[in-house]
Amino acid sequence: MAATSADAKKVTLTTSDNADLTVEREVAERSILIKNLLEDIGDNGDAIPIPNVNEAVMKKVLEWCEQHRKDPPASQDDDADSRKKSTDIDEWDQKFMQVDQEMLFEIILAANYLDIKALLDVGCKTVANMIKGKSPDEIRKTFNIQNDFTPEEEDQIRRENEWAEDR
Amino acid sequence: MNNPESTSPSAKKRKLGDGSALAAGKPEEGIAHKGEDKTIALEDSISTETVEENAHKSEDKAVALEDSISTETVEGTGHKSEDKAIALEDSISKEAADVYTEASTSSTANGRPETSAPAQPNEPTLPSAGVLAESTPAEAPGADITKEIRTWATTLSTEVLVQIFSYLSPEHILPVRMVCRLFSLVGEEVLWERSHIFVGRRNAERELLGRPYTSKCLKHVRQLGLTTCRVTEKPRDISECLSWTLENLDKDKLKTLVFGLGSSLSVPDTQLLEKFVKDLPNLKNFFVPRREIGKCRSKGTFAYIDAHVHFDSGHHLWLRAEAELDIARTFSQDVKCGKLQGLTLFGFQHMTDQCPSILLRYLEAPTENRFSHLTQLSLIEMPLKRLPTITGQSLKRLEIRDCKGVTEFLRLLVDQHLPIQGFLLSAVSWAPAPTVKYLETIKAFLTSCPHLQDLCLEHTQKWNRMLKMSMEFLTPAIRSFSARFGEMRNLGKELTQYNLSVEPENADYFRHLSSLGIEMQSVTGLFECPKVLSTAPYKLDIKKVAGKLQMCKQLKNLCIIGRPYRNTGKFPALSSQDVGFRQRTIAIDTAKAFWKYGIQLQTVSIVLRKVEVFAHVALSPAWCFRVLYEECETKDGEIEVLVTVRRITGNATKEEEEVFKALGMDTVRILNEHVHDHVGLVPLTAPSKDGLEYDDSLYC
Repeated sequence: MAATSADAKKVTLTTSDNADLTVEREVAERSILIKNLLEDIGDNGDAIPIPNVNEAVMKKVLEWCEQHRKDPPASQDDDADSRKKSTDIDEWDQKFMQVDQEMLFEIILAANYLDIKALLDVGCKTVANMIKGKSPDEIRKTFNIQNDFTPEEEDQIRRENEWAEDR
Repeated sequence: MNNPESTSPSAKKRKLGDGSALAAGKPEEGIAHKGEDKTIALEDSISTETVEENAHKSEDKAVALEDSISTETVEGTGHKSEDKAIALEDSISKEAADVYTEASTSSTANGRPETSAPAQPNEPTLPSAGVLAESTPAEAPGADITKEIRTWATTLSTEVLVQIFSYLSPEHILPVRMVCRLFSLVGEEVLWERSHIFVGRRNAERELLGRPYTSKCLKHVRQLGLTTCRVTEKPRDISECLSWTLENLDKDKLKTLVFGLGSSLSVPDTQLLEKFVKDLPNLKNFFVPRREIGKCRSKGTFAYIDAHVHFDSGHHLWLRAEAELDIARTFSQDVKCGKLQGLTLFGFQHMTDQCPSILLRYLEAPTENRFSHLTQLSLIEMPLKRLPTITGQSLKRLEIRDCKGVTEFLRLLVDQHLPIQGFLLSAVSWAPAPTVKYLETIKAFLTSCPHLQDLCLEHTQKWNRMLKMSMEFLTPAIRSFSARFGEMRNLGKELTQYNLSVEPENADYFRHLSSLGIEMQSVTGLFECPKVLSTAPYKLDIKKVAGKLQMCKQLKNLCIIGRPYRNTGKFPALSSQDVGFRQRTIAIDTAKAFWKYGIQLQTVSIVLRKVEVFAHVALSPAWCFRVLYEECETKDGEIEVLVTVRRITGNATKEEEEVFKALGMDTVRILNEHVHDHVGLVPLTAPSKDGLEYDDSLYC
């Protein structure tokens, strides 16, 4: 965990399973969490502990960061974002997200934790695209979700949906 | 949700208190399940013992987690690490909350058989996203936990779920709400956050029936209309409706309010509403049309607002003749004094002299110039002579449509040397026959606006002198230029014609433009007719256009505009495959045509127009099928195109939605972008259909 990098432009990240991953600082700083940590720590060469992400997921995340290292920072405008919700996914990102469901959600969780908004967006869009056009049953099957409604609750939601549709 | 802060550890930390309450078995509003009623119901259905046991387990994990982080590291990373440590510590209570959630979702209290693994005290606890990300290494992402248990519904936090659902259209959210309780509650929030809600009494019986549901959605709503369609509404009913609505709203969430209650609003109700408006901390758009809003379509109103907000950084007041000026004044003076950045005035032209005088009184600020902070001013159907001189130095966009006294008004503006960046002049009814004086005024105005970046001119008649003069002022500062000519008054009949042709010598004026819109009828046919298999006519057209524009080496974004649809009822169905084929073909052919002249386009947009009319103002100016084109080549030398279709208008009407479905575009997202923000629209008439070597048999 105490591994350090002699190269000032590189940082070492220690994952939850004690793997040390050395990457360029610019790449790692796609994560706001890591960026903030580095700003606080300074250039002392200490490894950055990432206790909530394991090696496999971290490698995947860093692969994305490497690809998008030159991307402009994400917009902070909540309103603009909410009005421009598109499920468009960059072609490279589409291929990147072609992983099994478990890894997909691990990436989303890691992006959320590491505060990589663009990666989180891509993950969420991917899941949203998996939901689109599916019936409730199909969604449950796809994601292995239990129907925990009582018949009464289910009926109420159905009525609410009908009301919403009719508005 | 989209604010990075909301996904950051610090943001999570702020939410952890909710989890603590849950862990203690105290349902609290705003937590994972949010709906208070549901939370109570869930509380009843869950075994307290299970919750407590899992909570204890979570505490154990907290200790383990804290131990796993070296004290040295925490100290070394400064305050952020401290925050993180606190967040990690606090996350335990949230974990317990999520255990609660899981237990509730897997309980059999409702008598229904369990189909997936329930949360048992001795089994691995199901963490939420936030918890998981801040949990022990043993349960970190990628850890070996069975997939049966690690369904995403139980691993993703509410805020991530909200983000996922926010990418779904309402019609896709409705089935999501039927999946499980958690999805139902989160889906409900997302659904209503983005919906336009009108609370009124258009159909009293129906509203009454829908009231329980309305009260549920009101707390999420961001755009609200308070309306009534009948001025004969009983004051007591209005008062009751108003009070009830205001009670159920989440004032922090409301950002747009369309106010159009009847004239019978009592003094107490007026005061109530004024107080309410004052108490809305995040209200940005306040639309006060007229007392009777029955003729206004709810969706249309919001679409109008969305389509016309070009500088969406501040507060905007939309004021129509006969509006409740007192309420409007409350918004402008008392609440947002000094912050008003957008003002749209419309409909005063046909009113008596009294109304403009009231408006003038309204505009006369007691202590400061009300226009001082305005960045956007839209004047529609206004008697400009009666308006005070504009002296605002922040004005970036000026829109003048269907106004009287334009020439004199512009003359006054010339003297002000305002730093206007965008100018939209829609000269429809007031200048059927442009005069020399008008031409000189426009020239003087454009000369006085060296910072102008966007210029849009719309005139009733084609006037070459006007166009030529305008082009002379297409300075490098201008990013976008639009010139439309046609019988705009016929918009309602969708007979708008754009007859202007840009000759090659004129195209030289576009040298420095990076965005350009051209009109090509042949593109419409590709979408209209399912039997059209050949794109040859389009290829021919675009090659000619590329030749005309070959000197435009800066061109990056090209918008191809089709003619308006005439009758959507006759619109034939296209399979999504067909639509994709056409988009791809158009993008590739267009790019190839321009590459020939060394112009590398980055974006090819396709705009198929359909025009609606709202109070004489065009709404939904375009159906924009935007195809994002990316420059890349496959190993085989084929051009790789990322076919991304986006629709660019405010809100979809039912009719539009049906057409989209027919097109196989039901997955297309609705974006509130305005085409003018992206590309200038320079009508460039391609050779007509008759003049081309079309194979008529291919066309319907």
